[in-house]
Amino acid sequence: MTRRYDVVVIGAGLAGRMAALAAAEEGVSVLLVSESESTMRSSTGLVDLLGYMDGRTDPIAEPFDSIPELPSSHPLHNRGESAILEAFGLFDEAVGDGYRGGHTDRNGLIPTQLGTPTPTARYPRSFEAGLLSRGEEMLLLGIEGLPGFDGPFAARELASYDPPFDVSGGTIDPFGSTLPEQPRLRLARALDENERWGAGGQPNGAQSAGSRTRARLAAEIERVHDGQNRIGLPAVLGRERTQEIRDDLADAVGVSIFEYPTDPPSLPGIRLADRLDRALRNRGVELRTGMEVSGVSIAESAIEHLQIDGGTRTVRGREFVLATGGLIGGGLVESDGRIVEPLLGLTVSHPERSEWVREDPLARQPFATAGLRIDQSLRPLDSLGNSDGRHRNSNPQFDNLRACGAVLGGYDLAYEHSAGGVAIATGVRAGRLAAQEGST
Amino acid sequence: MSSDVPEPAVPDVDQSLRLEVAFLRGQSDPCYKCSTCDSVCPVATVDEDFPGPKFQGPEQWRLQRGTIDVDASIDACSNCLRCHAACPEDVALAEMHNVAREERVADRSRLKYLRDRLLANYGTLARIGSKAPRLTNWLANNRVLRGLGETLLGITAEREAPEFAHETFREWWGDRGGNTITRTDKRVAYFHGDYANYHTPEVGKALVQVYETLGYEVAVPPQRCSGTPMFANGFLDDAERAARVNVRELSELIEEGYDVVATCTSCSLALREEYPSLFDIDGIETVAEHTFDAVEYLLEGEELEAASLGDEGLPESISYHSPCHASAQGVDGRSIPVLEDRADVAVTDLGDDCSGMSGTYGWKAERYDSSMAIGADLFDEMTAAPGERAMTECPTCAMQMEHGTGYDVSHPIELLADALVEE
Repeated sequence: MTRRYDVVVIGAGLAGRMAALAAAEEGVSVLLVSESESTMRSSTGLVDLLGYMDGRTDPIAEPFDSIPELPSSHPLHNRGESAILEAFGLFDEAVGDGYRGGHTDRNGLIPTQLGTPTPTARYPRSFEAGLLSRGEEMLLLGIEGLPGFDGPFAARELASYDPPFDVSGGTIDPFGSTLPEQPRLRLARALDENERWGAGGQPNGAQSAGSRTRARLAAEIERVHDGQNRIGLPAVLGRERTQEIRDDLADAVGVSIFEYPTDPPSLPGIRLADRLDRALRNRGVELRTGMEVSGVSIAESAIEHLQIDGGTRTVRGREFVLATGGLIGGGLVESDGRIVEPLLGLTVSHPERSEWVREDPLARQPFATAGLRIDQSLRPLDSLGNSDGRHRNSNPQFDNLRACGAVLGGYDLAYEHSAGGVAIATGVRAGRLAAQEGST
Repeated sequence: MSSDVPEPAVPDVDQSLRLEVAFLRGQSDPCYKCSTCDSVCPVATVDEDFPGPKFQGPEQWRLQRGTIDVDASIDACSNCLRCHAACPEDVALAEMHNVAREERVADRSRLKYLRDRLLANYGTLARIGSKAPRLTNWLANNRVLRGLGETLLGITAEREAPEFAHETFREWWGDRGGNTITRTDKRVAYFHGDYANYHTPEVGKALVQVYETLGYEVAVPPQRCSGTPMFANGFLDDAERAARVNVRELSELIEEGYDVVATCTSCSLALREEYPSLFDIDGIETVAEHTFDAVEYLLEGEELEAASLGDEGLPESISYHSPCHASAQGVDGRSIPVLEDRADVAVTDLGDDCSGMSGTYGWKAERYDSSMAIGADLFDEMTAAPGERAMTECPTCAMQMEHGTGYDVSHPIELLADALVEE
């Protein structure tokens, strides 16, 4: 029979990756399977914990003060401050020097590409100089030809929040009509390699004539710079050498350079996935994509193995962690007026069909709280219990299955800005509990 | 409808094309532009004229109406299929690209058409070349001829042509009298593909050694190219002809209790995933369900687990590259835990960089620079890793790795063959 892993994690988003890391830390064999790439690469790279709550218009500054006020059905409610901090510690260790925010329990405020301040618990190091709390005058720049970034618009929007410093916006045009077809990814590579931007106008390797990409960008920044202490650029500053690129630009212009988050394709999302993959490999986690789980084989109340690709292949494990994501990731799907968990047919708690959406599209949407109900050790329950969130008469559906991340119900990750916190806190706990069970 | 409203123009196309276009148009619906496909595309990061798979796939296909009209940039797609494997919404990017490339075939210049058709049907050339391997090797690596190949056909002169073995795998198999083990309960049919047959028969021999040592009956059925280079160059008719032979031969054996194992991960991907998505042939699903990567298959059974492995003749350290077509099936690097835990080989996993070869892509003169730029990260990782040996499942990745670093690159089955202690 095929190798039996101590812990098998299904789904390689933030929750699944953290579960695999936490399990591997316990010294057991871990397999992380995923059908495709997770949506992490299209994320902003910001990792939030709790940014907004019902009944409050302002973003939350002290998430740990607010977590006890969350409803008891919320996956963070009973986690406890020290456990959450410890789980974030594992994340901090995995992403290393590429991330900031671990020095404080408070949220940071970062300007988005639209200039909206967004609260976040962890942010890429390259975003740090853009923290609104720094209080220094700021210039937000867009790059001509890169769609989606309008520096003056973002500056006006940010200024409307009355930050305690001046904000101005501008547009630079370092590459003119020579921007490649896929500008962000190609530009990031040209900056990583500091290629010469060729006489023909396009980056084509070190051999061609023309000025270096970083110098060209720096010269344009200098042209519009007007005394501000810090300058924000869309997050396209390389995939691997972001720090070096920022240092070069900062040296040339003589001010701090920071990145602000972008829509996809998102370099900070790609960098985060790269860093976590490296950490997983370093800890001996086997990472396997292209594995479509099509069913499970069950013995009594435990999962024996996963059937892959219609049952032609199998994956055997002692303990399993379900981290397949929510409605966006495909871990939950809508079917005939119900929200279901398609892989194992687990019981999903969700509002009545007629109450899924509110008329105001920007309002908090009730369907978003759909998901699995779990017991104290994160095992999905077989029935919904009472509406007060207590689980009388419900039992774990499988003895050796835990769930984490967006497949869990009882919270609204989009409204609360709590996706990262839930993924990390529940992922680490699920992985650790699975490893402890799996090794005994 | 009032009479002054013009009737919509209905293109005059045959029904099957209409259905195919309608199917792929529908396939673009789940795309919500998360751009994960673009973010894993190796070509988009080095080729400034390449718009990326999101545009070439769903963005174009949702606009097709009856006929197919696609952007010429699909010619620069390397067919690594990372976009297809990465898509969180399961958009049929591979099929979109395959059909788009087929549509573009007619727009190629005569010489490009000839070049691409030659590369796509490499197996036919190789069959002729292998009749006189020494002469072919000399001709293929003659500087003047290589220069001519580049000037006339656009086949890069930068690469050395893969050497023809003096004895093909099939010749060796025939001379040894075929299988030495006969049994009805454990039998595999080996799909060697053209590369192992003509260029690296040692991979095929290693497969036979490993499987026979573990007590399997091995069959080597008649076969043609899996079709991967044909898909990559838009020659779907050529691919279907080859597929018909393969499906017929393999499904006959499957009925007799054989499973199909392949050492080349592009071959196994074609048999498993591309065939059923593109062709309608009797038995095609059965072949897909019964095809496995050669190492993966060993791990599904108990024989390898029970066998004794040693470290004699094995390198202390080796680095491993995961081919795109292997990770698309989740079969990449399956040998690593076996080699590390049981044969004391320190394996460095080089990560998920694409080698940039992608079969025929790296052979095209106009793609050579992009191919090498994509491979640069992998070459750096190889140089940084301990030891000067590497392994990978894909023969053309191996070709690129050798070209970029000068290292010897083996197939994992060769290391397993060395590790297996015969009892």
